[in-house]
Amino acid sequence: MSDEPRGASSDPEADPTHPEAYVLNMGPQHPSMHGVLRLKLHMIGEEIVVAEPVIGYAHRAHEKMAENRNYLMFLPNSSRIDYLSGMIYNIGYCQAVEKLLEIEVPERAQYIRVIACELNRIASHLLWIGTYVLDIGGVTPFLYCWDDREQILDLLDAITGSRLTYSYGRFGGVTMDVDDAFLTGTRTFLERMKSRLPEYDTLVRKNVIFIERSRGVGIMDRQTCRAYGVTGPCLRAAGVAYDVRKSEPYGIYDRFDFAVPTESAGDCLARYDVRIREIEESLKIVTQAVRDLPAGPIMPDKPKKKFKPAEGASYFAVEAARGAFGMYLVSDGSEVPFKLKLRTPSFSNLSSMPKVLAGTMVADTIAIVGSLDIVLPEIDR
Amino acid sequence: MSTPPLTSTDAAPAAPVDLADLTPLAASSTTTDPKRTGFHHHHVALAPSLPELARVFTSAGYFLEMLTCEDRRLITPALPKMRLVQTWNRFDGPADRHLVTCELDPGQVAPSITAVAPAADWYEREVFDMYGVRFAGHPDLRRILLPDDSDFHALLKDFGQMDRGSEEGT
Amino acid sequence: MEEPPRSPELVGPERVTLGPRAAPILQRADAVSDEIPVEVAPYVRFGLLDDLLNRARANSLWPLTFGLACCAIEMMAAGASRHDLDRFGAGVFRPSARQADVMIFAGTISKKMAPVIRQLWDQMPSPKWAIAMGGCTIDGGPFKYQNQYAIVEGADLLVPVDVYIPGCPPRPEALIAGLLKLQEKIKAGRRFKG
Repeated sequence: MSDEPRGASSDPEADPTHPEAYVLNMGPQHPSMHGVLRLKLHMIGEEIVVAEPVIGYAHRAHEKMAENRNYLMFLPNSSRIDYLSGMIYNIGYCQAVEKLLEIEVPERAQYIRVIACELNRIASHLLWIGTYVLDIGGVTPFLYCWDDREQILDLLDAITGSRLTYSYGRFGGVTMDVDDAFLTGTRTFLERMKSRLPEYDTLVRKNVIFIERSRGVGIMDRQTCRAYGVTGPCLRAAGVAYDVRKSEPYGIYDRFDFAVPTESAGDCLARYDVRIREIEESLKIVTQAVRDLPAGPIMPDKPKKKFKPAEGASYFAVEAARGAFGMYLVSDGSEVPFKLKLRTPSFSNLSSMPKVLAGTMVADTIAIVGSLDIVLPEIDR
Repeated sequence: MSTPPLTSTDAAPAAPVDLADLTPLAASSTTTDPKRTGFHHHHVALAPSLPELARVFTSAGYFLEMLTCEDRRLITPALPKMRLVQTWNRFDGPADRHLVTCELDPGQVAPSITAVAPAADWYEREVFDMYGVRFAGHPDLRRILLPDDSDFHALLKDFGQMDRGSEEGT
Repeated sequence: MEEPPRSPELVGPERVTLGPRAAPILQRADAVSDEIPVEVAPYVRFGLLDDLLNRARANSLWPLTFGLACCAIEMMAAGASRHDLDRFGAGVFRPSARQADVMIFAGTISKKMAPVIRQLWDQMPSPKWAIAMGGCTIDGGPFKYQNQYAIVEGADLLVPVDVYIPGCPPRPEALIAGLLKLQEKIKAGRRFKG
């Protein structure tokens, strides 16, 4: 295959065959690449002419594995696709299979799922804030964010037995019930987090260096987002209020009162603002879910033992921390999925990079790529 | 910087795509129950009409949500087929997901829709990587996930299967 | 050049001018020198220096900033506020392989990544150590199955591994335990005793 430079830029000035053009390689081992992303940057001076992301360094064959084992055996894989919001992926996979098999989920389990998923979303956003600010030069917020994130991990650890790669969902419910200690701990965390957000505001959002490095940088407008299928906070930062929880509510998300925060600038700063406000909205959802949590079973009375969906294709989408995560599941009537396509949000989000990075300065590369909140094993699957 | 050739402005919220625009391009169009399948509409298309279908969707303000392939050669051995699968959805209003499927003969080259929907660039590369399906008109069709020197297409059903179906299979 | 001293009593602690902090090491060297035959006695001096250097190395491990997958997050957690890897001298994550002396394999090693890892390992100056963190780096972990095509089944197929930490992913405490194990191993030097 050819190794020609490529990209979306059609600016006649931006000619990669220019005599002064050179290639700058970043990654796959790079301190700020959030894993094993490799960027081949064709540069003239400090300016990026063509940016070419090279992916696949974390390809773990999830989709092949899905075709090689039955529905239940794929469950541990689900949270390892995107391990930063693993709970959402794990529960999402359960919900996709439940839809295929028409399994009813008890009320209490539905609420527990929402609490767990939203806590996980907050943890994921906190990690992003910490690492993003670290990427562009601030070390202290990293320690603050990690401190808060550990509180969430403690809570989830108590009910799932895992800090990161949860297998908490089951087809029909969840594995373990929550106890009073968990609910009290969650309420304490909600209070704590509410008081922490103003601190983040003063520590990060009012910091001149942070603002200068992120405002007006890496602008993705609505049209770019649509052309590349960008979803999640990146899309909402461009002013589009698209959220799977609202556009096709799954589980019991239609019962909660929450907003879809949007910004209009579409730059890195807007993506920060959107994520902070999403933390607030998630806090709201958790508050309501804890308040309304009904008593009752967490699994159906007679859980199914065999999972053999009827022949046919189905699609199920959830809103993960990075955008719309979709599962295209095809059954051939056997116990093993015929095909499971994982539509992961970061894959589409990152595919917009050749267009967004073209014409920017190399110093902004980390600020822009970092602002997408990519998880490489989720892109490479 | 280039802008993708979109005919609509993005300012106005998208109305549902006009099915009358789609039906002439599809061999068959059916409405499905999204509560059961997750799709609102299913269109079966022939390969040559894929770019035009994509144009109708992008003009109506839809985005390419996913593009993949299925290896159905062993399902119907008498008539072996590869199936291209696209889903289109919109940002505004309730979801309106269109499933577009297209049957290809093994070895048949499909037209690329990258020129219409830039999102297809990486997805088509992935389909080529995993299934070996080629796309005519793709600007740079090469492997994306597997190493460049791989000599197999990983998601083909006759590659790397272990005993199917049983718990003992691990 | 003068012939080095051949008699064992000449290599005693009083001959070496070191600060009071070296006393425990010297005591140990003393114990060691008792076991060493007379004819190789001069090497005991190098053994002493090695001991000191190994102690220094063990207590200032500089890991390479290098995450592969899920385990990398727990590696970061080990370095962050609660677990604070700096307490053990191993918190100085270096972005360049040239400055690092321990490589923590944190995540699945794909076949595409394997040559890169080997190159990074070769770039690290000796002495260097490797920690295999998590199931994937031990034997492929959850991604290992018959006929799999995507991953390298274990870091030890690429580089010699010193410490294995099981878990999927291992908790930060487990990584710290692994680092302490590695420190022990480094301090023991090449002479495996007892």
